[in-house]
Amino acid sequence: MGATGSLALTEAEHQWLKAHPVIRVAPDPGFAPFEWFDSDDSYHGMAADYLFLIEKKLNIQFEIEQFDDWVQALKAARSHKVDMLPALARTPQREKHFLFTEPHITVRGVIVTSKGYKNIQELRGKRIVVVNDYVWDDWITYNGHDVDLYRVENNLQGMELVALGVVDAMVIDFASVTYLLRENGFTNLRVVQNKGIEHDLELSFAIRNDWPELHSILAKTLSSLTAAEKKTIQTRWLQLEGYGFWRNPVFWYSLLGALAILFLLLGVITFWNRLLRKLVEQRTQELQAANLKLMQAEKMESIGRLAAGIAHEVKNPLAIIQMGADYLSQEVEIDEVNGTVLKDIEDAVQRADSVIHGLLDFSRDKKLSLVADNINQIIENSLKLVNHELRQSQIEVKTLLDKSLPELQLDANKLQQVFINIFMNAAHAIGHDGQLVVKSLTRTLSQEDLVRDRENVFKVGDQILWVEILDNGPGIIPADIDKIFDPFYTTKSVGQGTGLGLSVSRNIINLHHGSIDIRNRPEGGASVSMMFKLASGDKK
Amino acid sequence: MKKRILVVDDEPAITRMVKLNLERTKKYEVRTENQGSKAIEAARDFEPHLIFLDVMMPDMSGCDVAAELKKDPTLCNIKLVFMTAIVTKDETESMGSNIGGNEFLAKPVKTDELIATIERVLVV
Repeated sequence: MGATGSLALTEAEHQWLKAHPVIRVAPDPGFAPFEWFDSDDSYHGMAADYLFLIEKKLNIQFEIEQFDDWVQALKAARSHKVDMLPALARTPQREKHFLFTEPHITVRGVIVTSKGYKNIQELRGKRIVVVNDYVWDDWITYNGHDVDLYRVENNLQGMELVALGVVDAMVIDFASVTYLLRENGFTNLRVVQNKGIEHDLELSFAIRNDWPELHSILAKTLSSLTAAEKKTIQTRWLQLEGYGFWRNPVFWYSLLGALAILFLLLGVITFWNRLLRKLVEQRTQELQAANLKLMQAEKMESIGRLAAGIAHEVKNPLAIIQMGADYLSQEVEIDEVNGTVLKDIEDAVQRADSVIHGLLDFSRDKKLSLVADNINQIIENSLKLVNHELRQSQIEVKTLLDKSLPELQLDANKLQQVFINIFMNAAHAIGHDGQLVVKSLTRTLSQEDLVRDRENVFKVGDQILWVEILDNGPGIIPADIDKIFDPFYTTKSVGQGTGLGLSVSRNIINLHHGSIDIRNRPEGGASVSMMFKLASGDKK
Repeated sequence: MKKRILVVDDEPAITRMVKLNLERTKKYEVRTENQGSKAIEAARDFEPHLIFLDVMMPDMSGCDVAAELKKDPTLCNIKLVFMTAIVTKDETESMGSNIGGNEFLAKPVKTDELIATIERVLVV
């Protein structure tokens, strides 16, 4: 009997419980949410929860008897066919038949209407419905309210009459309204909020009047219930206050607010996702670019090692030639021809030296020595240097240089190396009898131009300085186009080229933050394009 | 009195060209040596005012030759000018043309530069 320990039942009461193992209970079969039977004949509701709690505390079991309606249940209790009722409002008349505990359920009385009544006074002379024999019936009758009273069998019927407009209002308890509104989805009913009925529905256990022992036991048990236990039952069945929650603007505002926040959150998440995806793409590209750079760097390193070896092997012979020419220039008679020969030798040594120089530069990624310079000047100087070769091959040179080009920060020596390289390549490709066209201009980059930006350094709309070198040779074998800038890639026969020219050129253009591209022209021959960024304001 | 110049380089054509170009000025007496390992002996024998020293030589590097010279009190005051094929002119400039307190020339070097270097180094 541990559960009853805190109840402090008397020995006589314990004995009484033992002597009465069967206590019959008759709930109202349709008094939701206080008590009712569902379609499976299971007993539910607040009163039911109190009964279950008492069963647990007293370690007993009630025998629940189901009657067809409330009137029958009440009749059975009066005639002691059952021993108690779990939820009965106390009235002087009922006290003749039952012993009442203190109310375990207290609910506000309210008026439900489908019209705009504000308080009970406005209902004077109106049609009011109550459930027959419920406490509200007695309340209206005893208080002498001047209304046209209708009586129905249960709360649901009454609510339906109000909803249909057959009557003007119903007097009912707040819990039942809440429950019925929720279960039946009446949309046009509202609870008169301001001034309801100054009367509460108080439900107690009603025990047959010849069993005072049971009354005493139940009274003790009820008073032993903790506030938390009562609260649990209360909140389980009476969660809602005031209007039906869907009628409360606060509910809708809250819902809208919550939805807005949800959408905002979704938006933020979507945005964030996209941002992340973009970021991942960008990082992937950066990684790929870094990877390429790394591969390039590895290539450069091996070229660097090779270059040092080549430099030693080539620079010694160059030194011999240089000093040999120096000696001869002092010893032989310098006429026009001898002078030219010696000058050519000296130039050749310088050029060879600068190629080696360039090779070392290329592999060491040296910085440029930038000076404001006109690229046309560099192009013309370069053409002069290869003039002899071009003339020998009977290649006609046509220059279309924009005289108004702005000056750019350029390394003239390195760019000269680039141009010489490209002119010589073109001459080699043409062989004999051909044409070389060199153009320089400024332009605004179009989408079409962008395909020639091999390094992806420009975007549509950029102002650039554009140099293009066109030849009418056989063009490049398509399979070679992708490899053309690779170090040591060459189509020339052994001894004719190192295969470094274009990779050095590309490196130099890249150091200028520019882009170089080579491709075949539709009309035949090859086209080399170089793009350099114009500083804002450089546009002519 | 002519200045004595010793030229040490494993490439005979180089030593020959240097000798030809310097001697035709009548201002220098030039001896050449094509093995690094024989440079010390040549220096003792010839007592040069200045030695042109190739850096990369198969039997003994120019740096090792320089170190030997510095050890010998009778040779340690001879001026040294390194000549190398590896370092570019830009790099020699960036090093201040001076490694271990010595002048440094990058091949291919012009005769004018050789003479200018000799004159500069021997004045100091």
